[in-house]
Amino acid sequence: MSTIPICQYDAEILANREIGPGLYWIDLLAPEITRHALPGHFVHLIASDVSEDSSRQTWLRHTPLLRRPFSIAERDPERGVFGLIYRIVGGGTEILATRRHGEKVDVLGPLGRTFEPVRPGRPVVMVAGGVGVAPFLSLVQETARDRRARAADMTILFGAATAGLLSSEEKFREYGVDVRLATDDGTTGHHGLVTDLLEQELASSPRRCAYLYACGPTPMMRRCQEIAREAGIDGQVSLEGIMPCGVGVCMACVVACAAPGLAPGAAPGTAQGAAPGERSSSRRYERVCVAGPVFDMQEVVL
Amino acid sequence: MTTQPDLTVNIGALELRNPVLAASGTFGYGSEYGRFVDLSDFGGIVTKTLTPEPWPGNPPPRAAETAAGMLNSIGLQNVGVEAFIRDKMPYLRNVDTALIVNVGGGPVEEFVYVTERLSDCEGIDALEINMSCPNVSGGMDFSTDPRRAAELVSTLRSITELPLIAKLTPNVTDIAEIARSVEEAGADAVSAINTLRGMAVDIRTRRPMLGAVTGGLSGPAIKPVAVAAVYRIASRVSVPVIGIGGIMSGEDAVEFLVAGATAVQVGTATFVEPRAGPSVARTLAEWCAVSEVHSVRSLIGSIQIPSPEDAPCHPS
Repeated sequence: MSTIPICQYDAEILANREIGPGLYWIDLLAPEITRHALPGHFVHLIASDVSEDSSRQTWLRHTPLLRRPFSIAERDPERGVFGLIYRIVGGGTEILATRRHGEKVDVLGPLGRTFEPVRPGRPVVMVAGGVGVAPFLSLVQETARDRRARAADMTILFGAATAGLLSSEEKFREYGVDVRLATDDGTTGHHGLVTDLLEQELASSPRRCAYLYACGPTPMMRRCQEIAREAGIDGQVSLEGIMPCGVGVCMACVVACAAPGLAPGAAPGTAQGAAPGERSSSRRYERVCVAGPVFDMQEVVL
Repeated sequence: MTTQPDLTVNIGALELRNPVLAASGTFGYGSEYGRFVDLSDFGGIVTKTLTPEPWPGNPPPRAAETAAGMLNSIGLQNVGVEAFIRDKMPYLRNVDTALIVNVGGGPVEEFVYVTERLSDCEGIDALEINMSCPNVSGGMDFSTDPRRAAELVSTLRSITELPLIAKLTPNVTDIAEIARSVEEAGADAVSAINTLRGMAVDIRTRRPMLGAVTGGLSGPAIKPVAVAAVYRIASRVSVPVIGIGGIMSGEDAVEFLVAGATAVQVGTATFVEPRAGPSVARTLAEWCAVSEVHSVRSLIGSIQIPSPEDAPCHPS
């Protein structure tokens, strides 16, 4: 287990603004978490206002009940501030979007396993789908801070449903990252899947694709695994999961992993349709919150 | 000025410094939360159910949030009793709180094996028998049948000196009857309730929200069910009852004690707030101080049921 301390903070909201349709950026003041955060780390937060001066009963303050995990998108260690990107997808994020500057958010972090750093002389491609872009902002920022590695050795292939959801692409350009866009509706960039861009990139400039990172919807990451396997490229994926505790206790957020001895990427024989509680040696489940959220590209069965 | 209330309670011969325990399955093996929560603030902790061998658990998704609660279908993923003794006990032995280890298995022989291995192990204060996990097929429904429940408890009673706590399922017609039978079989205490069987459906895909289709409901949503179970059990047995179900505050703990519980376990709340257990213990103490309750023992079973002639006429 990592030796980075887990901190719990009543983090002050410094900004919480809409950056695209239903897409938000929130800045939180939490110096300890910010200091220790590395690319790929996530935080687990309570969306609603749970301050104890409320006269509402505890359970009512904690509605919705569970914390929500978010990848750290950017950090400013001098100010002690980190940023998150989220899209309104349910009750938790809907409430988070109503929270105002100056209010406090209960945050636990930094949590999870982090990305392999970008190495000098090994150009990387990041494939991002929607809010899956968040950890890559952090990766680019850290790479730019590292005097040996160069953000110019990084390419991001960024896809979303529509152009308005790609607003954070500007930040990548500022760092000198090579940016290629794709939208489902064709409002900007390639009209189609972001994984089409990955195939094009591999065909046209294979030297710029020495290592691959992927974060986004499961079908996108599954396709990235296939493409990486065929091209023989190593890489990592960052996953999410329904995550009640975030610290390795509840065993809920698991992902199926290839058991030792199985071919990489082979489905564990009983992962689908296994009888509850059935014993099987071909099945191995890892917790996304502590074994991940970053996994080796071919380790997980998506 | 009020003096500090006495929070100590007894589960049989085991004295707890306060009545708040961490519930099995929500506190791992102690060390996970021990990194940033002071475990000595708990009356005790109950570790994740152990089976003889490591167990892979159920296919994901294994959790879904519901109104004021959550469904889970973990399926007892655990490291197995040998790895527990080898890797987890050295840490747990040095934790300054009561250690209760939860025991599971399929057939009776597996419960026997785990119990025997743990009975030889120094540093364990009591065993809780998971007779009632709703997420494992085949064998683990001991607490739905009073006779089988009693057989399991008396078998384990004959092989261990450790206090035995039987954890009961609410998914039965009469939980108090099961409690009676395990008491007669030699259980030192009962804990109730385990999760309620539940299910949620994603209507867009028409698929169940859980990989195992159904799971167990926990959280504030089940608290009234749990309070009723504790009340009914406490009126039928003389051994201590440990109340479990949706406890998030000191006031919730008081409610369980008044209904008949001697101690409580905090479960799902810990996922939301890692210090929920210590916070329940602290707010329980504050409530006692303000309410001039000098010992929490005086709360246990102090429910005042109005006599029928006092009750207003109600058509039901």
